[in-house]
Amino acid sequence: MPLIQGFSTAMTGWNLFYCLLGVTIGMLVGVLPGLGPTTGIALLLPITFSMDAIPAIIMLSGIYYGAMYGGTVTSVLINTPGEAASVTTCFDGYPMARQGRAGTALGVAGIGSFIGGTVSMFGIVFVGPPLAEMALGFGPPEFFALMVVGLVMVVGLMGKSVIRGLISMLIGLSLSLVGMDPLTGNLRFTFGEPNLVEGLDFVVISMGLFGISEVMLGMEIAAHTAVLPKVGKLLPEREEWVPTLKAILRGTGLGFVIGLIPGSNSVIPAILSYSIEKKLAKDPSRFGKGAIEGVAGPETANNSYCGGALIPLFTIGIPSSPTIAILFGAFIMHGLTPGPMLFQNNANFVWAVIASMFIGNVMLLIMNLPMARMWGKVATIPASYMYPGIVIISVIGAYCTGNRVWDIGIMIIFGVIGYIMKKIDIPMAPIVLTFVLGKMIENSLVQSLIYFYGSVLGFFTRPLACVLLVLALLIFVGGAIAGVRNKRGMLAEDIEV
Amino acid sequence: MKGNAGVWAGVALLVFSGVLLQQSLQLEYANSLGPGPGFLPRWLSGILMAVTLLYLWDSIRHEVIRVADLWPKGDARYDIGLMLLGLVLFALLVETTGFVIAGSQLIFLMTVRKFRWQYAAVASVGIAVMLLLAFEKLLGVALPVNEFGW
Repeated sequence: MPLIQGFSTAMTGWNLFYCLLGVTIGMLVGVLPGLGPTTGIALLLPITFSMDAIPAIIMLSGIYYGAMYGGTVTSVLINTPGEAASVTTCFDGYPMARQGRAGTALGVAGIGSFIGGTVSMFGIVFVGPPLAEMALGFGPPEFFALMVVGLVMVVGLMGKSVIRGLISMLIGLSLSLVGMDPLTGNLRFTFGEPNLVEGLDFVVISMGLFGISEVMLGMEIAAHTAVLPKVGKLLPEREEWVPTLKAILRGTGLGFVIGLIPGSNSVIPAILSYSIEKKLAKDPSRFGKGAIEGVAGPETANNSYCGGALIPLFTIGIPSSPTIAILFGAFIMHGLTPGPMLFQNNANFVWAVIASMFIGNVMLLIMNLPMARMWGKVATIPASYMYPGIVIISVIGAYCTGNRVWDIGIMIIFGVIGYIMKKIDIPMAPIVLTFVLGKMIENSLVQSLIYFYGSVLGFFTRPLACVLLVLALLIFVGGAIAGVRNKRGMLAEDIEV
Repeated sequence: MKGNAGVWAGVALLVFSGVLLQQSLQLEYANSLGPGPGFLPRWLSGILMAVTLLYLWDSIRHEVIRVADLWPKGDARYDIGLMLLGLVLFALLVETTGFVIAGSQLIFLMTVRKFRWQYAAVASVGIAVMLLLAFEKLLGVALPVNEFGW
């Protein structure tokens, strides 16, 4: 079975080491407020330049799902979500900590995260190959429609307004057009600058938007020292096991299914899970005051989401969120093309990475449960100590993409642009996603129009493309209406950075 | 209106989309095979212009973010200013002086306000050297160096 072959590759010495390194850095990224998985993966990309593809992606994937575990620690111990998807854990996790049950909250979150993460990996094993087979039958119209759904999800549901999300998306698409047109070879928007012939580099833009600008924003926030509550017993009481396990099972299914949808985000399953647990609870008034299901469900959902979100990347080649877009870029950087052919052309790589995720989840469970207090102490390190490190690594990363000072200049410019965008509430996340997808979107659109003799209506003659485009329209209109009525709520924050 | 940051951002976006449109008009919109290199840029610039006008309307009528609120205040102003200065100096110096000197000055400028300057100086050089060794020897990633190899 290919998964067993994957385990034999993943469990070789250096791959195990990079898996451990990735999940440890992921925990660190999750624990430290202000540093999310997108920034963490973008910052660590330069380190993987000289590595082989398998250990590189094993490490970077480890950062992604490790951050979901790490974000729980600060949510429970100091009421500060380490990363966006853990914001719902603050609602009941912190009250549990104040009741002297910090250990139980962390234990339940850790167990739920492990179950959700592991089950979603099984989901990749059983859903991935058939979906990749099916995707082999997709043509440019289907790929275009899928990418439109993904973009509309990000724009229509996230951020404070659809207008601002659209602007961010259009900026990202415009930036992706700089350089040589892949179909005709014409140079576009280079203004005679030779450094722009190959276009802009997504690593440089990411370093600027998510590294430099986040440091600038962080420098404006005054530091405060948190007092950590005692971490005692890790497991729930006997009568709490049944409702906890039910919440974990529901969270697992919810997170995995939502992860399959391009353009979704880890915050959505966490919020939905919390709402569902509250609705299903016999006594909803317990929520917000230390309800164990309010921790178990969302934490399971955001980890289960990780596995589901990797499926569109592996099988169709469409990153479903800005963080996955950075991973997508890492794949390209290492000579791999995500998509239907990945399972066929690079089966050893795919199964090794999937196997490493099983291993990584076990490592995270071991790291979380007995060492929760230690991770909590990490969260109290003043952010100002980290900024020089983040900046110098960003600079190294930007320079190493092309060994040009030009890229450092571009990074600085995008750092300032990202800072201003954050201040005027234009979300940064869609820029990276649309920049990465831009050339794919243009290629699939142009190829489709050539096939349909220039008629846009041709998309609606393809059943799947038609359904997806109608769905995209409904999502967009729904998001616009929700924005007008100010009903975006928790999704209004610029998330997953 | 003059102090409304959204208006200024909208104006900047209009200029950006205008340049996009002007450049795309010089590219072929369509050819015998189908859409040309100017097809998507033209549509994108038009849609961006339209959305920017909506954004301007929204910024004027609903959410007013003042220009004065954009810029950092107090200590943050100096911290951010020094960081940006350090980055610019790094870009200007690195290919001449090498990573250790350029990197040391960047780290020094970012830490000198938090620690005593002597400690900041020693730590900056130490961190820059460690990073050079880590990236070059351990990770095999070449960093820019001077003729002495650092």
